[in-house]
Amino acid sequence: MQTRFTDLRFIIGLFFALMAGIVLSGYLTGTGAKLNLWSGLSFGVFGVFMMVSAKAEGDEG
Amino acid sequence: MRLHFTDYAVIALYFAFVIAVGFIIKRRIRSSNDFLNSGRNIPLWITSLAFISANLGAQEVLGMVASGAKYGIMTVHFYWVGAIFAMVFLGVYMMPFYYGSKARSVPEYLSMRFDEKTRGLNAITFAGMTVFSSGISLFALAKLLEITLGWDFDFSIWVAAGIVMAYTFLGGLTSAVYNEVLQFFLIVLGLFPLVVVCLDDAGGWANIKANLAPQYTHAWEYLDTADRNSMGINAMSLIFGLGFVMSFGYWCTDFLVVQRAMIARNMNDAQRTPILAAVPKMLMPIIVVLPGVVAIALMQPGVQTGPDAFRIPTAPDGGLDYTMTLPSLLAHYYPSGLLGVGITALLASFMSGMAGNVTAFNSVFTYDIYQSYFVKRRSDRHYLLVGKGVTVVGILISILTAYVAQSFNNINDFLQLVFSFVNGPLFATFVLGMFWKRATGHGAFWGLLTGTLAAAATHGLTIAEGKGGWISPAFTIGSGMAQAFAVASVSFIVNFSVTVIVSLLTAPKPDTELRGLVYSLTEKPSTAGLPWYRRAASLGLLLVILTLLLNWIFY
Repeated sequence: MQTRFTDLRFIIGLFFALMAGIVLSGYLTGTGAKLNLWSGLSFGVFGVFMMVSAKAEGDEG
Repeated sequence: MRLHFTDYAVIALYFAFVIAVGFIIKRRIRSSNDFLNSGRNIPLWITSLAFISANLGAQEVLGMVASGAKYGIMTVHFYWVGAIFAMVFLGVYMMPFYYGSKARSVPEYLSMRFDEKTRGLNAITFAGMTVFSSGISLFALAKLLEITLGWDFDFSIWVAAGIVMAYTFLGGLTSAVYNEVLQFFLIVLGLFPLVVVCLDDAGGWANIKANLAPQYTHAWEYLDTADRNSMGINAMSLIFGLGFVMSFGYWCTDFLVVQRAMIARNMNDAQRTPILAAVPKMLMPIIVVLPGVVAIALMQPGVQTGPDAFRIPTAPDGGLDYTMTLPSLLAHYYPSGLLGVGITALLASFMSGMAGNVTAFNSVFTYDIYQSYFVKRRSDRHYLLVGKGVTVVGILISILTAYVAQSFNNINDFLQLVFSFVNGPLFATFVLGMFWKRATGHGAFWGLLTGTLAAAATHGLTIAEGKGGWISPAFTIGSGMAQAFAVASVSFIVNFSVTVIVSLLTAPKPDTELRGLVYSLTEKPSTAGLPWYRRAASLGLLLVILTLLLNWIFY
């Protein structure tokens, strides 16, 4: 797991997954704006995809 | 514009991640080569996205949205005329020399190809330009945050500069490059929802075309004469000034972007870096030009009515403040949460531009100025420490520049002007150096110097929109943009001519010293057996065809 953190795809994926969480939490607790819902879901899907596609051995780039 | 907790949480998350990237990369830094050149070990997808992201600074994002609102779809010329062809040319024809020569920087290539004085001239002007550009970027960021969010100017300057310093100091070029890729995705994905909602609000492209003057939705049709379009240019000056001189001068010679290709793992990757980067560059107008066009369409009678209708803010002179188009679109359409993403995307564009400038400054100062002229033959650890020290110094000069820019309003215009004088003639030096083995060091040096002086003289003798004419306003030009094209074109022609003349009067280097540096004396990289998508030339040709197609569609 630790080496995954050296893969840029994993870092980007994690960032977007967490950002999706913040945007969706804003939708659920506050604004209720549909734009937050769809954008948050899109960021989440992109984030998870990037994390899953990261190499287990890390990116020694 | 008022931010809420979720917006601040997104901004804080971004700051935490960019600094974390610095810490992660820090463990890999063992030599000056790792710190300043990433050890030439960066995968292709990262170098390509970093290549495009290094150019995706604040001027690009805010400036192109503003131009989209001011000039309409003609702004795409900065992409489909002024970028793609030069990027393909760099990949196919010039990267073999930059990468194959094993030069660590563009000025070092000039030293190998020509001589030390040409390198020195280029290195000093480039180092000065990058560090001042970084300062101007910082000033623009702090000013924008002060106007839109009411943030304290000093706080914005020191926080933004501190974060860029932290991750570039920790991880050097690799850290900057990794963050540039993160910033690329953040800018594209963070601004894409805006494109969708404002386009929908304007009733789609068909409705925009129906409500705007035709000059706003045609890229080429009104370029037959300068007075038929708002840019005040005709097709010939656009193609030569922007499409050839300015575009090739920037994309093919500016170390800030070329550096991202020079750190690829091998020659094939280095060649494909700018070509693959041209794919997102070709599509970037969707993110940065279209919102500007939509913004101006939204202000047309009948498209939107009522007190909640979108409007571009007004400048003190009563006209529209086009620079504020993107921030005002974000404030109008983004709810809390997504607004934080949009603001973070803007912050990312500023920081990306600043870090790109600082890392390029680092390499050029350490290798081409310090190591070449001051302290030679010291240990690698010495140059690693100098590189790290130069990072801090570069950021401090940027901060100083930002404060100077705050006190002297027109210093920005002045510095941008000086940059254009220096950049304009540069492509002539490189194209002659790479493709004409008879070009000499004396020719290159005097060509570069006279080209720069010719650029300044052209600006001093022409006047456009009240600018220039400081020698004598002998010629009036329709727009500032047309004037910039004229300055670049004259400087290129003067540099080219002087380099040729002086070269013919001076002794060239022997062929043995030019192998790997000049086209006719260099073995071409073999692509035999590679599939088409791994060949720079095939990919480049495909992109050129697609770009021509896009120009035809939006004619």
